[in-house]
Order: sequence, then structure tokens, then C-alpha cells
Amino acid sequence: MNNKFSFDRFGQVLAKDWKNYFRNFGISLIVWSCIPVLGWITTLIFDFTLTIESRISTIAILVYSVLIFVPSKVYGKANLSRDGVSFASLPATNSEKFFSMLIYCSILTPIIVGLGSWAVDTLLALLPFGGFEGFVALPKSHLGSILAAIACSILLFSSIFLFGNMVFKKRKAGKTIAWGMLIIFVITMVLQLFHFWEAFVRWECYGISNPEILPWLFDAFMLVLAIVFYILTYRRIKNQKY
Amino acid sequence: MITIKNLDFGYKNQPVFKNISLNFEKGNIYGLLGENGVGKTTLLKLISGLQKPSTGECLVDEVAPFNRWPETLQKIYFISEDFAIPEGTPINNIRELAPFYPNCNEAQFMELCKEMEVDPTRKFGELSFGQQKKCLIATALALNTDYLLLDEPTNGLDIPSKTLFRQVIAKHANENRTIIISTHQVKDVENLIDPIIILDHDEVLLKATFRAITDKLYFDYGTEKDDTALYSEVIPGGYVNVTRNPEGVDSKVSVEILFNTVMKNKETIKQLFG
Repeated sequence: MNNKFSFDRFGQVLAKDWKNYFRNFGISLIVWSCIPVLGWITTLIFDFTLTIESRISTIAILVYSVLIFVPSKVYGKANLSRDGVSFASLPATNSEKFFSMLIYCSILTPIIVGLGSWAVDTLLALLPFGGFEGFVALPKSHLGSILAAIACSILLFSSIFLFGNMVFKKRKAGKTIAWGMLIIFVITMVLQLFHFWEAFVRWECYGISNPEILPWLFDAFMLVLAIVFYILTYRRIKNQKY
Repeated sequence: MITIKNLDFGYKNQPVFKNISLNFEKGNIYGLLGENGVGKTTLLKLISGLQKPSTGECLVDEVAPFNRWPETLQKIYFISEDFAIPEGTPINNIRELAPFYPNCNEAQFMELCKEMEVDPTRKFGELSFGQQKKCLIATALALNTDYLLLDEPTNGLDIPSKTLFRQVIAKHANENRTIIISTHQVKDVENLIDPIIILDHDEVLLKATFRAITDKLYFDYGTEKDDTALYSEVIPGGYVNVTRNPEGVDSKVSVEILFNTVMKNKETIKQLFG
């Protein structure tokens, strides 16, 4: 008898969660991806053109905002004493349950909403009327670093809300945001107290010979933080009592 | 086999169990009795891995269920008193669970639904509470787990459904399956359970088979009250007196009377059966 990760069983967990995901979030995904249509209709009504930059911002906002809601919509019952029994009792390892959660909330959802809203935006730009001129595309220069930054920030953002989903029992997204803001405020105050920012600016200006490394350092920082939140989420799943 | 050894458990500052030890052997239908709040549901949660002992051991086939290893979880199915209603239909629910339970039998599930007179193709949300419960009991039996834990299973069932419940459980009990039924409605499971476990606040007052109970206690159904009896209760047409049974005379156990006897004579019962 053991607790080893089994790919066969993981596939079964994914299949079971897919039904739950589609049942609880399928329509929301379609609605979310079609939100650029609202912007397009607005350009028709008020007769103006929406810049590519603002359309990119819209897609980014859609992707990040969907990450706030997806954990509580799909796995919101996982830590509840009555409703979470079926989640806890499912004969699969905690890691299989966790990775399924991660795949749906942190990988599949941003890809579906990102590609979906981009596809809708592109279709609207193909129309001969309306205010969508030109196509949204990622710049060819620094593509690798841009994609890495997007991926790391999505993982960090998603990991925070996955963790919040396993910690809070009610108003999960709202409480995660409130606590997140409070923690950021406290950390900023503490760092201010120790004159950290002045030290950081001095270090940034004079201490680094190759300034191009800074974005990568920032990506690495986000990735490490995301991994920390994922580990905390896994531990909550493992130690959750009902 | 389920082994509970020197187990302590409590919620925050409220102790529920202090140093309790119990075994549940295969092939029995255990009746877990006790007043409200003594920890019947908590004991089932500990066995099903939903709670973790503060100290001591709770082992299911030598493995701590709180580890939630798949091979342990696929042996246990727990129906809580305040169960969450699954989404979709009962038939889809068992199809979703089937890959995780190696002995799951869909044909048996359909047969059980027929026996319990419920339609498994209707959505859970469209069924009454009693019908939902019957569907979950059918699911639990068709998954063919080694350990079936039922918390107040007859709550919300009408009288014919209670009879059906007893019939179905008796029919599907076998030597490889342990069923633990927690209830305070003892009459609903009177002819079903054996052995009986009676819990009190933070301890086990009695764990005995009907044979052991009738060996040590005599249930006398007469017309007069016996003042020397451990417990007497008025019944239609007379009294039932529960006395010690040094000569081992056979009698018919009334679970409700037994429960009241135990609650009124805690120390005596512990000495008698200890």
C-alpha cells in the first residue's frame, strides 16, 4: 500500500474534475472570452477606434480577473466541512488532487480565456466595420522574456487565489484580496522602516553591472513566490480536517 | 479491521474522547449508540480520515486513514447525516466514482435503486430528502467498499423506507464487509445491529454482542416492577426489568431498554462488561 503518484489515477481525477469544471465554469468561460464584443459594440455606438494597447489591456484584465474567481467556482467546496467530504474521500492522492486543481485553475483557465478573448478580438478586427483596427499580437522582439513574465505573473496571481480558496470558507475571493492588500501594506511599512527602498534604489543604480538581468530576477522572484503558495495550498489539502 | 488504541480527540478546548480503545472486526454490523453530542459522528469521521486523532491511533487495515492514501480511501465509504447533495443524477454520480472504486458495480446499483424504489436517472435536486438518502445508500452498497459508515441513516426516511433500509443492509452484509451504523433511533436498527457500542461523553460505556449481553443481563418482561433491578421501565401491560444474569438465562434484548439501563448504571455496566 502506498501513496505514490499514479498517472492513470491522475487522468481519472482530471476527467472527474473536468466534468465539475465544465458544469460550474463552462458558461462563464464562454461569457468571459466574449467580453471584447462589448468593447466592439461600444465603438460602434460612439463611433471611435479602440487602440491595440487598450485591447491588449482588456485581454490581460480578463485573464487576471478570471483567475480570481475560478478556484472558488470549481473547488470552492473542497475545504468545507460538509461539502468537502466528497473531495477529501475521493480515493486519489493529495498530490493528484492538487495537480488537477493547478492544471485547471492556473494553466487551462488563463489559456482558454486568453486565447478565447484574443480569437474573438481578432474576429472582430476582421469585420469591415466597428472600431477594432489592426490585430493584437505579441511583439517579436523580447518574446521569450515577455512570455516568461506573463507566465510567472499568472502563476503567482493564480497561486494566491488557490491558496485563499483553501483557507477561507466564505467570500473566498474577497477575503483573499483584502488579506493580500493588508499583507502588502504591512510588508511595505516594515521595509520602509528599515530604509529598504533607498537601499534597493542604490543597489539598482550602482550595484548591477548588467541591468538586463533585473526583469529575469523579478520573474524568478514571482515564480518562487508562486511555488511557495502552491506548497501552502498542497499542505492545506493534505491537512484539512472536516 | 479497524483498530482504535488509546485515542484522544477534541475540538479546540472541548474534549470528545479520552483514551478510548476499540476494535471493529470484519463481517459485523455495528450499532454505534449514544446521546446527542457524545461523539458518534466524530468517531466515524476519525475512521474515514476526515479528522485526525490528537494522540493515540486510529488504523484501518493497519494504515492511519488521515493519511488519505487512495488504497485506504477506496475501502471506506461514509454517508454523513448532513450529507452534501451531489450534482447531476445518481447514475452519473456512481459513474464518476466508479473508476476510483475497484469493486464498484453499476448493475448492482440499478438493482438497489429498484429495490429502494428510487429513480437514478432523475437529478438529485429533484428528489426528496428521503429519496436522496436512499440513492446514496444504494451508491454506498454498490461501491462494495470493505467499510461502510452510516451516520443516522434512517433520519428522514418514512416507515416503509426504514423497512427497506433494514432489508437492503441485511441482504448486502457479508463476511468481508464491516458496517457501522451510528444512530439514536435504536428501534430503526434493532434487528440489524450486532454488536452494540454505547458511547458516553469521552468514553466507551459498552461494546458487546447480543450473546454477551444476554449472558450478563436478563430482560424480564413481567407485570410487576422489580425494585432490585438495574433498570425498570413501564411497557404496555406491565414492566420490563433488567437484572444481572448470574445463571445465564436467555432473554430477548430490547436495544432501547438496554441503552437506558447502561445510561443509568454506567459504572456497574463497565465492571460487568469490562
